Amino acid sequence: MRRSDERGFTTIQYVVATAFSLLLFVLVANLLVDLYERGAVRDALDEGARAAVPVAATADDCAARARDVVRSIASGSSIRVNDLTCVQEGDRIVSTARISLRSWFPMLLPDWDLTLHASARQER
Amino acid sequence: MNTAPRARPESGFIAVEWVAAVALLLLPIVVLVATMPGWAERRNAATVAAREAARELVDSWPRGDPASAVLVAQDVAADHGVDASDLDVRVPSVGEVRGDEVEVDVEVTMPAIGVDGMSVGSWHYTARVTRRVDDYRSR
Repeated sequence: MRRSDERGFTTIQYVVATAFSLLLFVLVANLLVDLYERGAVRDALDEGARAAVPVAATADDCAARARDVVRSIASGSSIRVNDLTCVQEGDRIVSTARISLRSWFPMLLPDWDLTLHASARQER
Repeated sequence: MNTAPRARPESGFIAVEWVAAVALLLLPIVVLVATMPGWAERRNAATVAAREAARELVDSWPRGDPASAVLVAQDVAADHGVDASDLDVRVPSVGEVRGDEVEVDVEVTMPAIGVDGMSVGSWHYTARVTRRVDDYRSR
């Protein structure tokens, strides 16, 4: 009986399957980085809102603090802060950020656009 | 006598093995890894919600209203992406007199496995925040 020629068969299959698996890993890594950045911006907005809690503080203090925190913990090319604002709504200060989290594979997944909020009650 | 080794049918062996490995090992791990950041987020949301609810009660003392503290906690949790139905806010103490402690518990439901809106099973985490009513606070 003639042995069937299987040279290369397993290798090609293995490479393709491995490539898909690694792609999945990279997509998961992308998701985890995005989740970290989302959490970081939420923390920054919280920090900003809390910076405006004291009686003498203003919405500008909120925005400045939030921007500082974003810069320190979530800077880089994978996040784009489109807009970051703080406004007074009644006795609460509300900070809002519109961000775009870049996809590592734009052909497969689009960027993740988010609008995040945080609020805190100002002291009287 | 033919002593040549007999060729074994191996076509598809790796593919089946690979699919089984992905289904049984890789995907569960990927789902678990994708779930765990959600736990940290929800834990943080519960802590911040409890903190803001406690601040609401202390700032409004002695007219602090537990119902408004609950609303504040739900608002803050919603800002963190946690639905009000996943939240249980309790106010064990509103601080009756100066020097008392205001206590707020926020229990949040954690999906045991949860990815992008789909979840299976759950467990609960409770964040407790205590704030003291100032000893010389005016009424």
